[in-house]
Amino acid sequence: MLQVFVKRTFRGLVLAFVAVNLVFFVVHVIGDPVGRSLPLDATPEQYAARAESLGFDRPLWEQYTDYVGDVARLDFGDSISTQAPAMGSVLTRFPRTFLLVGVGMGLTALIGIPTGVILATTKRRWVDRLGNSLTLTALSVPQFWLGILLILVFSLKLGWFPTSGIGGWKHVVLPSIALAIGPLGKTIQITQVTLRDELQKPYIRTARAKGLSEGRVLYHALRNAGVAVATVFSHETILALAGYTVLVETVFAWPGIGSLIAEAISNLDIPLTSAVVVAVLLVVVVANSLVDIMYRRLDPRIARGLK
Amino acid sequence: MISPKLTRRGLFAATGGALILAACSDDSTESSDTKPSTGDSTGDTPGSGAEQAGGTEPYEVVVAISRDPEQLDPHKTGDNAEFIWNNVYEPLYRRSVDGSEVLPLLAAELPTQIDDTTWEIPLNPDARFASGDPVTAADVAYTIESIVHNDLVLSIGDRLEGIASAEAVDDLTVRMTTKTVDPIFLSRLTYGLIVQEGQREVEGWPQSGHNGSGAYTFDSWEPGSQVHLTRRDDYWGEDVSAAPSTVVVRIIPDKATQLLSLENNELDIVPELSPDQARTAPVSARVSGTDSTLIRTNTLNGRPLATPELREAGSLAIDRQAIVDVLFEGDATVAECQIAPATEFGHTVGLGEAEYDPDRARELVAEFYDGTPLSFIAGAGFSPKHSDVAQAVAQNLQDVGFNIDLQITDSREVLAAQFGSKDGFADLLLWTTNAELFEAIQSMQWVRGDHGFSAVQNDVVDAAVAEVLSTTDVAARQAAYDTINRTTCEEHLNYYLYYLDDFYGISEDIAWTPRAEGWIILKDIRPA
Amino acid sequence: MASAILGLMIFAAVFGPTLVPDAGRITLRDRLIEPVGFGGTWKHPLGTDGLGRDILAGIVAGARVSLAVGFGAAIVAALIGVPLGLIAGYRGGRIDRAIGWLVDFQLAFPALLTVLMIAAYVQAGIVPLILTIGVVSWILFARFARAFALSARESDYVAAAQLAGSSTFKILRRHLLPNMLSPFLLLMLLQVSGAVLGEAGLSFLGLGITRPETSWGLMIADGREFLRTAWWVVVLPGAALSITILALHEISRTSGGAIGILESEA
Repeated sequence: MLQVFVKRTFRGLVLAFVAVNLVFFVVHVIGDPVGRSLPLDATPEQYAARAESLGFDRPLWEQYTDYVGDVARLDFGDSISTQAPAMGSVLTRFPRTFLLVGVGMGLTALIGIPTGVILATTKRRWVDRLGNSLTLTALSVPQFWLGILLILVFSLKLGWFPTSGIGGWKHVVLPSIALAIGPLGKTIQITQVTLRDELQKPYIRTARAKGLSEGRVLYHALRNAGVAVATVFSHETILALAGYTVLVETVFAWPGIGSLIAEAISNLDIPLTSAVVVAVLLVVVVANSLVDIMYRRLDPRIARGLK
Repeated sequence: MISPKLTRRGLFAATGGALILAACSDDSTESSDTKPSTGDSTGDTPGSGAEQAGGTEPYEVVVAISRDPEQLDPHKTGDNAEFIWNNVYEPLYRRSVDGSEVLPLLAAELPTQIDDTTWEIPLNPDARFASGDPVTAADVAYTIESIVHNDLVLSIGDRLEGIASAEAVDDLTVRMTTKTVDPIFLSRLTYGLIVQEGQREVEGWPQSGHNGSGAYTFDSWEPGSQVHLTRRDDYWGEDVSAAPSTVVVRIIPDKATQLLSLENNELDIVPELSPDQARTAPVSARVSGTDSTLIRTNTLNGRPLATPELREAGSLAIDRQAIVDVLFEGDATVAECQIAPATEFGHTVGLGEAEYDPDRARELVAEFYDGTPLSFIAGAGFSPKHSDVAQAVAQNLQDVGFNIDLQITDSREVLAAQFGSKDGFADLLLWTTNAELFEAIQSMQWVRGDHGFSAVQNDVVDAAVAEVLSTTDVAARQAAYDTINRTTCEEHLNYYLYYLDDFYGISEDIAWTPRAEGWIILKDIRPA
Repeated sequence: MASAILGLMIFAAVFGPTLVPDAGRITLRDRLIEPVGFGGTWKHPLGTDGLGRDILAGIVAGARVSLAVGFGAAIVAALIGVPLGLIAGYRGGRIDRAIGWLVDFQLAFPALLTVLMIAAYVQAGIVPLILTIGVVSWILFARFARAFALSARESDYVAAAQLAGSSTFKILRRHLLPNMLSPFLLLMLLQVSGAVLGEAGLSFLGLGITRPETSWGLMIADGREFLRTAWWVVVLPGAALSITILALHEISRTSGGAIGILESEA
């Protein structure tokens, strides 16, 4: 167990190192952060003054060592565009994305897993057909387009929910539904397929023959199908936390981490970009470790296999 | 996603008026009658009867902006958030709502001219910062000096750059000197927001410690989300108890989302709309003709548009009327063949609209065009509908036989190249500037002057621009403007497209009249 | 049904420019015309957008972009992933571990960050999009090819070939590649749908295809402004996008095996 964590942490550190190098490289080699922070008609003198005040006039290696040193101490400095501490922005934005992802993935689990179970166990053809078409639709509708349609129907036509921004619980409803649509399709699908496979295995027949109630049988099958379901589910959650919410956040003007990534990168804001990237990686690494622990709980075979 | 706004709207709005005021400020008796405390009362909405109601129920107003304030320093902030600081801090003078007059605010009356380059400004003895300290001459001198002698690039810097120095004569009198004879000195002073002496050295500034004389205090800023302002009940000026008690400035990057939120009654004021967008708002308001949109042609040697006939063909090909009728649903005006509409100082009478004759254009293209692709660059975030206008114009030009390579971008690198070295110049550049001529000339100067070459490549225009920038004589300036207007029109150096008013979407809950310079002065808002 | 839809889209993508030569044509005076059945005429069966561009023509032109990016990116991903996976699985040992590490790394580093960074600095267009999306989505192919090579290594025909003295390369090419063809094609379809969605999303954000070119994502972004007054500008391109993705999913589902791949992804 401990060994796995050491390994994971080490990998996380290497990842973070590569990531901050990538940020530095991209911003310095391809972009022009000084020009970005000036009016378009700035004179060369103004440019030079700004470059000096931001420290961009020093030799590149010196900037690089300073930068890596600061990042290693988790000191990302102030954002170039907002002048506020970069980590502060990340810390205000992340909880909002957590909220969105939490509600969205909560919906996914609450609707997806039962639906998958129903579809796997149903004997009625039409339920199966209907379920499959719905699943397929959920898998195929792009989140951002669904978000716009939701706004059209539930905000503009019916007036039930606000169109954008953060505020009360009403603000969370539409974006989290839009966010949930893809994961929902995948969760239903994986639950249905793995559970169906599981129900055809010999041990189920044995259990039924022994006279176990259908509920108990289903419970055992579900427990064994759980690993696959949990894998897909956690994969989707981690993706969302890694900023894949950017499209939904854009549609609903939701000021979360996804839109912060997009803003930071397009503003060539090195401190902010570094802070966001490192924070996202951190969340991903931690989330992956949690998923590992969860696997061990769900399926003791994995834990044994790794020893 | 990020929209750099290139227009410097209202930078020197209605300078014609300012010029006249400045010119007669020696006998400014009639102007100085204006009581400072009523300086902004012209801003009251005619229909708003809420004021006599006195203490109205506290209410909140939500204003949308497209981008973060960027800077918490009121002297560094970008165009889009300038209004926020104009509610927390105040300048010496502020324009009347329609922009035609400059009225004293922190000053007691208009400046007195001592000699060509020296001015004295008396201060209003009632003015107080939020801390309760009076606004003194030392504070004003400190502010102006810290702006004009600051090494950092302040967004406000070039607006005040004509000022050489400021010093306190006594507690309530400031003396300022300008570098040269300055025809727009008074207009400049509608910018520098006055901070208290030593403000820049306060611990934690500008993240905290804001202490302005405005009617609102700056409460908080959540980057990417919102800014909170609260009304000051101890504001030194007029009674503001009917103004919104709290104001939320929401940052919504996307215009479509702003509109949807407004329609859904989540916002009270949305600025920078196109007319058709404003029409979807519960209430729309407009303030007249501030923006002028045109296309700059690249006449540098070796480029196709150095040929006068091809420039003419381009101008003839553009269906300006369709752009105005369809994209702006009739709520813009086809430009006369010059930057400024008739209401502005420097307008030349009788130039008329540019001709639309695609058949003639086709003939000219067939005769003179060798097929070299013309690069056409437009910044999407310049002004409402810029991207649509660019595409429509490109279609017009393609229809008469030009080979157009259109690039619509918000890339600052690409756009900055249009104002930098001439190697980066596109053959056609769509841009929007303030219709007021002095500002337009200043913009033109970026295009031609700072970097030592003329983008216009026309000696007559260059000479006239130089003349405009160095004289205070009204008749001489008008004559120079006439030369610029006539030449750029007749030689088809610029394609003037349309004049567009500023449109705002407003909710039904408030009454408010937009201002010519584009700021939202919150204390003028009343409940509907 | 699904194949018919996909076939139609591919047909539109290939022959679209001949069928609708004036795809991006702006006619301001024809602005925001309703589709047929909602007040419009057959001149513009699906109506027009805010600049008087025909929506149907835009959807046809968008199909070309979407599918070009979709298939292009999938091919790039396969070109990177399949060789790496085959070598890793077939040779095993140190090479396998190195490639496995690379896969882990790419998995942990959110592809979105890479894509956004590239998109922010590179002038958008079809080719950069293909390369960007392709480069971040090779993992599935690598895992798939590795698993295939692993199982094949144990199989009789490969053992026989080894005994006959064939070179590694020859074995890979002669015996492994042909056998993995049909599951490979299914995986391709899934990857295509991912890339199509990726392109639409990036274009929607303004980081992919930009005007004057067209793309479904871009059409949706442009149409948001008219959501209340002209729903068709947003709804129809989105429907085209959804139907295409749906067809791709349905084909890979009914052909079976895709689920197995999905599982191996996890």
